[in-house]
Amino acid sequence: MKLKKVTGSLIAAAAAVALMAGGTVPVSAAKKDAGKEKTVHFLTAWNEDKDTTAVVKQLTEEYNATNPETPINLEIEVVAQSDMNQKLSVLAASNDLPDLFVTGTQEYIEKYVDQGILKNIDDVIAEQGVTSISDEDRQAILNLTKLDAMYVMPTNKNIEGIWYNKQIFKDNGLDVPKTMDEFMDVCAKLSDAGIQPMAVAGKEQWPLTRLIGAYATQAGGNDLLVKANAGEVSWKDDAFLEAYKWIAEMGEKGYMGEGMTTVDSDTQNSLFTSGMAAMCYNGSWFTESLSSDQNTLGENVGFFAFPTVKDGKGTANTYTTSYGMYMCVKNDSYDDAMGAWLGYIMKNFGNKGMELHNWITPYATTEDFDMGYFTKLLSDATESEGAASVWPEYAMPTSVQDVEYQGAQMVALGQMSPEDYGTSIDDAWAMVQ
Amino acid sequence: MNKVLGNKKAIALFILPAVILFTCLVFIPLIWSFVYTFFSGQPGLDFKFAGMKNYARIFADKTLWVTVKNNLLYVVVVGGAQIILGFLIAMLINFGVKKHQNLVRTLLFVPVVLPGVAVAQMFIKIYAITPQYGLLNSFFSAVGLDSLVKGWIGDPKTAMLALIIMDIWKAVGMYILVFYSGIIELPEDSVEAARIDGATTWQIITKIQIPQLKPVFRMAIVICITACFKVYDSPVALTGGGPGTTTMMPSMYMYNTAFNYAQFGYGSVLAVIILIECAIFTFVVGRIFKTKDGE
Repeated sequence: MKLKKVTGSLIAAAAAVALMAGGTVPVSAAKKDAGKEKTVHFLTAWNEDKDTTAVVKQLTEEYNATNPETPINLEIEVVAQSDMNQKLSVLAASNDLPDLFVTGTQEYIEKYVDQGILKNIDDVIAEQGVTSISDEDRQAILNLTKLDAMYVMPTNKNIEGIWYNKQIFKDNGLDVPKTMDEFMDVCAKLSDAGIQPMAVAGKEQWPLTRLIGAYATQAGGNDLLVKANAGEVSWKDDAFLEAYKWIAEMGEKGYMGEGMTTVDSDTQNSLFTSGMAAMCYNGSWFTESLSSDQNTLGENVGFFAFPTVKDGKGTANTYTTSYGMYMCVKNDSYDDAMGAWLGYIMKNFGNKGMELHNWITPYATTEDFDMGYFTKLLSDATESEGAASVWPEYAMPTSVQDVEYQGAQMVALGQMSPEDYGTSIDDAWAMVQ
Repeated sequence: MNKVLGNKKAIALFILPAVILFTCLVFIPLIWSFVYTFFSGQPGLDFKFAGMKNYARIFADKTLWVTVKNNLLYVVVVGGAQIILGFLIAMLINFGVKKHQNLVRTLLFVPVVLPGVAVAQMFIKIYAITPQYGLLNSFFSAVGLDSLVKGWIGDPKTAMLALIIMDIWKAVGMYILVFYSGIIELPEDSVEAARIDGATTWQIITKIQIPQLKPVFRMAIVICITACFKVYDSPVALTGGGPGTTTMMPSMYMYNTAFNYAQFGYGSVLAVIILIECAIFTFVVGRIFKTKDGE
């Protein structure tokens, strides 16, 4: 009798828990039902006062002020950029992707488009009369995402190149190198003078592959990386082997500094901004560090394109160009209210990005801004741009990307031959075909 | 009380919550994961039946075998060092430390309770070379051993050693405690009798105490080695598996495969491999430590 009472109580407790769980309503669905306010769950890689999140948040506040009948309730969830893929994987597996999220992974975007998860942004642009994105930028994004329509919203327009310490160059009688021979000569002179020629965040691996990619582009032409990512060219092509040998030479001669594979991005940036390294390969996003108090160099900073290579098929003044981490909209979440809000975001993103961060974005600005010294450098570089190129991993599956990243460290340390490195990338591609 | 404890229904009721938890959190996910090994893609998106393709893939996957090799080295060195050092230091505390035993034991155990990521961050600073030398490189530089100054966690030749040292330091306290608890429970009369018979300390340790500590050794080895097979947080936090794949472990590769590459099926296969390694090892240890009474 006592045992029956105990068992009965346990069953009742379990039933109560089950009822409570079954009765829970997802926050977004509940809030959707509450009046005309539309809740948008935004999964982002930056805090509310940073980067794209700050832009979207402030634009949302402005939108709500001018559209009080159909406000947007923006729920921001921040996940570290390095954890974003895992988060999206888990959410996709449980059919719980957020209404708006950021991703830079081509593989995921393709998968979500195939499954009909993402909203066609071209439709939003047409519906809302957005004219702030140029045809040129739109086509570039289509090329990068390898899709026939725009399913992503860009957040930035970055170019990458070599930032240099003007004072160090001046003190050592150095000119900005235009060719690889001149560049290596600059590195040698700096090294002889006891100055670290280049700060490289080798621990994070991708800065090494960016250097490799830039060299390969100069050696093999602007379409080399596109062809390699399409499987038309082997990663052991002569241009690639030349690039791998160059990075190995840079490592062997110590031009990337001591313990390069222990240096992360923050340390790389601080090595440069504190004057401990003469050069640093970085993109437009570096202007944020340069504009901060950490920069002891002030405006003693210049920017130049990756040098040309002897007998190379590349173009002078080529800059690796990217459009930041993309914002993606879940198809099922899209409605008129969201469309109007997204239209407002896209029409005003250029202005807000410039106002808050001095960003150059693919969204046109409609106001005059004082760009700031560093943004002006980038703007001038873009105007004198010979060509835009992609980065090596732009269309790589993440499993192949990891092989490429890991091998880059080993090649730079002289622990893997260029031929073996190329083979490892080819083999990794073969495994995913 | 004896009536309750002898009642099988009562026993079943008491262990029911644990059984439910074990079933929901271990057994069902285990079966679920095993089922996943026959599928490719991402659940909820492009999950489709792949038969034995995932299993066939392990033979061509060079990265997997690099991680298995790294892991075996780690298991042998870290596992072996933790057990041997744990036992020796426990013996030292029991026989050699007369005053402040509690303090010594506490200090040795403190690293065990520190969060793994915090320990890794501390060791990153210790091993640092850029922008300033860390503690280790500063020491080598100060005593004139400049040839030993290097990026310890950025050099493929030393990254694994750096990880091993960190993990031994962090976890050896646990095994010191395990062995110490076993040592103090040993009956003193057999040691007394041996002393009276003229046995040396070495003979007492090797002929009396170690055999009596067999169950403790067995438990410690199983726990230690299976933990080493599954190691994840320390290599992720210290080296990220690098440089290259020098310190990449199967658990990290499994995590990346499932959650970064969105290949849940193949990731599950890697999980099964780790499970089989642990199961084989536990079986082997059980056979080695099989006592005369058939335990």
